[in-house]
This record gives sequence, C-alpha cells and structure tokens, in this order.
Amino acid sequence: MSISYQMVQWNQQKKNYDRFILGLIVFYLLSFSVITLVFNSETSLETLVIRSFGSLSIILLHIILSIGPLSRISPKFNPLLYNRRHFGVIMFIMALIHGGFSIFQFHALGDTNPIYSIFTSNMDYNSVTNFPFQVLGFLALIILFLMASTSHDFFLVNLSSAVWKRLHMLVYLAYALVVLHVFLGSFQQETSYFTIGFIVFGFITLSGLHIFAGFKELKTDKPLNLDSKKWIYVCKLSEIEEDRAKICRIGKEHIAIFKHDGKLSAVHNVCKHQGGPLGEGKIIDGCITCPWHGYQYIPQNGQSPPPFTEKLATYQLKTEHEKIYINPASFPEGTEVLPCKF
Amino acid sequence: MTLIIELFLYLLSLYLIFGVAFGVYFIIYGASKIDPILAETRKRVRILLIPGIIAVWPVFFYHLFRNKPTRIATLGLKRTHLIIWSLLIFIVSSFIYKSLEQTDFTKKNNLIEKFVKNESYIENDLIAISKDSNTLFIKLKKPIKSASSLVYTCDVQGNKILLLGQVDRNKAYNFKIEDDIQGVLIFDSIKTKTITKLLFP
Repeated sequence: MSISYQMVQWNQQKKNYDRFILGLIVFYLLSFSVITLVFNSETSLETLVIRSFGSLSIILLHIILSIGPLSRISPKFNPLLYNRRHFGVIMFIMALIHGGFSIFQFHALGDTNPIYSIFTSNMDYNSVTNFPFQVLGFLALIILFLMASTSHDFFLVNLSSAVWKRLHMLVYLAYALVVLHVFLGSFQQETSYFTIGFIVFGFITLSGLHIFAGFKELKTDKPLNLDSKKWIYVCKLSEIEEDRAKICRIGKEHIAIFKHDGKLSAVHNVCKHQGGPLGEGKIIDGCITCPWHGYQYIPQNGQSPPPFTEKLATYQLKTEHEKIYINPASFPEGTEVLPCKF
Repeated sequence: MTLIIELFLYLLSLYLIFGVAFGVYFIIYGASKIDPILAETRKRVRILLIPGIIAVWPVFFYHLFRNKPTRIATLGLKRTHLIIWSLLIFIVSSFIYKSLEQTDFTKKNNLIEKFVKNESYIENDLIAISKDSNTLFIKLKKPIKSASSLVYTCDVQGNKILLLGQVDRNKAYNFKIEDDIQGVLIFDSIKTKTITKLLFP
C-alpha cells in the first residue's frame, strides 16, 4: 500500500520473489544453451536466443496462468499471487526478446518494412495448417505489451480495478494466440513432436485447472435464501476459525464475516485494490488483510488504516444460540458498525 | 487480404503516433491533471508510465474532459474465467483438430519413394540426391544445422551456377531443373561457407 506512486513497489518479500524468478530464468537459459550447443554445435547465436527466450516465455506464461486457479483451489498457493504482476512483466520482456530477434532475423534484413513483412511473407490466410503463425505471435506480443505497460498501480487507480481487471483478462486471448503460434510454428518449420506435445500438454493442464477451479467455486458459491427477512442465517459460530472469515453470498454480492478477539465483523468481500477475495485472507495486526497483495482494512468500519483512503461497505451481524445472522442491507462504504460480540 | 493488412497496419501506426504525442503531453503537462497524486510523485515515475499511456491513450484523453471513473466492485469475474476457458477449450481444440486434419502426412514419404527408385543417385552422410530429366530430388538424412541452407547447381569444379531454392529441416524436396546438372552444392549464406557438395559421376 502506498499514497504516492513509486517506480517499482518493492518490499523484502517482493524482492525475494523477483530474485527467485530471475534465478530460475538464468538457470533455464544457461541449461538450454549448454544442452543446445552440446547436441547442435552449429546453432547460431540468433537461433539460440530466439528458441531459448521463446520457450522460456511460454513456460513462464503457463506458470503465471496456473497461479490463479491454483490459489482458488487451495489458499496454500496464495503467496504466488502476491507478486504475479512482476512475474507477468518479466515474461513479457522474455517474449519481447524472442519476438525482437525473430523479426530482426527473419524480416529486417530485406527491403520490406519488417512489420509489413510479418503479415505478408506468408499469405496463406485461407489455410488452417499453413496459416501464418508469426502473425499470431505478433498479435499476442501486442496484447502482452498492453498488459505489461499498464501493470503499474497508476493504471489500476485511473482505469478502475474492474476495467483494469477486464483489460488484463486479455491474457487469455494472448495465450490462445501463443498456443496456436507455437503449434503451427512447430508444424510448419520442422514438425517438432516434442514442442507440439509440450504445448498440447500445457493447454490441457491449464484449461483443466481453470475448469476445475471454476466448478469448485460454483458448488460453494450459492446465494443465501433471503425470504424478505431482515436477518438471514449464515452459519454456526464454530464454522469460522479465529482471525479467519466465512464468505457468504446475498444476491450478487459476496460478504466476508470475520471472527476476531471474541467479535464478528462483516465487510464487502472485494478488495478495492485488484478485487481480491478478502474473506480468503486473515486478520493481521487487527486488520483484514487481502490474500492477494496485502491491502488492509479495519474490520468494524471497512476503512484502510490512515493515511490510506480505501473503504468497504459494512454489514450488521447478530448471534443467537451460536448461530450467525446477517442483515443483507449494506451500510455505505466506511460506515462504523459495532462488532457483534459473542 | 493485402488491403486489410495495410489498413490494419496503417490504423495501428496512427494509434501509436497519437499515443506518442499524448505521451509527450502527459510527461510535460497532463500527468497531474489526470491524477493529482502524480504531482507529489517523482518525475521519473512518469517516464515509466509512458508505454502504458501510449497503449491506452484514448482512455486518458477521455479522462481529461470527463471525471475518471469511481472504483466499482469486481463482480462475477470468477464465473467469467470459467466461461472464457470453456470457449478457449472449444476454439483452440477445434483449430488444432482442423490443422491436423488438413495436414497430408503421406506427402513427403511419397516424394522419398519416388526418388529412391530413380537411377541417377548419389549420397553422402548428410543428403541423398537423385535427378530425372526435369526434376532434382533431395532427401535430408538429418536436419541441416544452419540458419540458411541454399541449394545451388554446380559444375565439376564445385563452382555455384544456379540457385534452386532452400532446404532446412524437412526431409524431402524437389526442384525443377531445365538442363542436366553436374552436381549440387548446399551453401550457408549467413556464414558464407559450403555445407556439403555432391557431384554426379
């Protein structure tokens, strides 16, 4: 959390996260280069760069896209979410190196504009098998640029979290383009069954994870029965762990009910930063802490601690015979509500 | 198709040109008008934001004249993920299936069979070559580890005569020839060296 913008919002955890990613990248690039040179000593430097950075960015894209569903399946993976934006920017830089070298090697040495050449060097647009795969890669790179360049908090604030989130869901379109780029490229260039097998395996795994996580949430994400009552039964007191929450749904709204220090507080479940599920986080230092990026809110009024200004809608709760009831009418964002004692 | 490509690239160029112009305005004047927090922020942060401003400049151009949107709750995105992935599975799988369906896996094998039966045949450990009156057949026994492998006809001294085309990692090729040829030379034009040379007896 910050009240002014910084170049890169680093803290010790994020630095460790980034160091770990960079370590893995260096290890991969070195291993790829050594193995390639051992088995194919004639490989030119340009080809080595194109292949190593291309394969690396695909692997990173698969990892990035698996973090979301994994953390929705199990909160154990939440720490991976914490710095996913940096991960995404690093992946874009790797893809840009791959794309840049490819454009230089295959399109920049003639008398045609290199970008024009990407679109016109293969005009077999009517064929599926021989479709110009480089065009697909170029379009994917444009989308990844759009996302990497708008990853700073400035854009999150000024585009609004909902618009920003939807804009960044274009990564799925980029991913589909990348899968087809690699698949067709492998077929048209050298019929590399290893590459085709890898990309098909990656696609099946990733889509399986997303579908599984989606259906898991559909099962648990059922709205409470309203019946025009003021107080709606949510769950038993014993169902919520200390400093944790129970997420319930009223209509389209999700509400997180936190249990802390013998009290209960309810706030809107959506973090104001990137729409993270607050109810999957916990109370740290007396504040509700978002599991995604650590944004914090005071439980009884839904306000971020000063000097921050984010506010959540709050709700009224009551307990009877160890059972928790909620008043579905929300208070305006930041309204103080006396915690329900039990 | 060329017209569509040219139109697309033209519009993309225009978008980028306007984006760069707006980016310059953003650095010098617009930043703190768009977001007052930027007035309190170091100037170099603005430079970091330039690529993003270029990417989504129409949104900020609009913000200059209208109030920026208030933050609204993110609803239903998880269900959106599910819908998108269901669509992706359908679209990508269909594309892969169609591309496999249209691939003729037998084509190359027929080509190899055709030239093995031919009488004018020479080979080394890298390639095998045969010819008939108007076609030269080349089979690669292993991939040529070179970024550019150009095929030339050559004379008995091994001098390049006519460029026929290029080979890379596919296994079999055929090239049209008009005259009888003495030999074939495969040349790496980037490293400017001969990869292999074969002369007919």
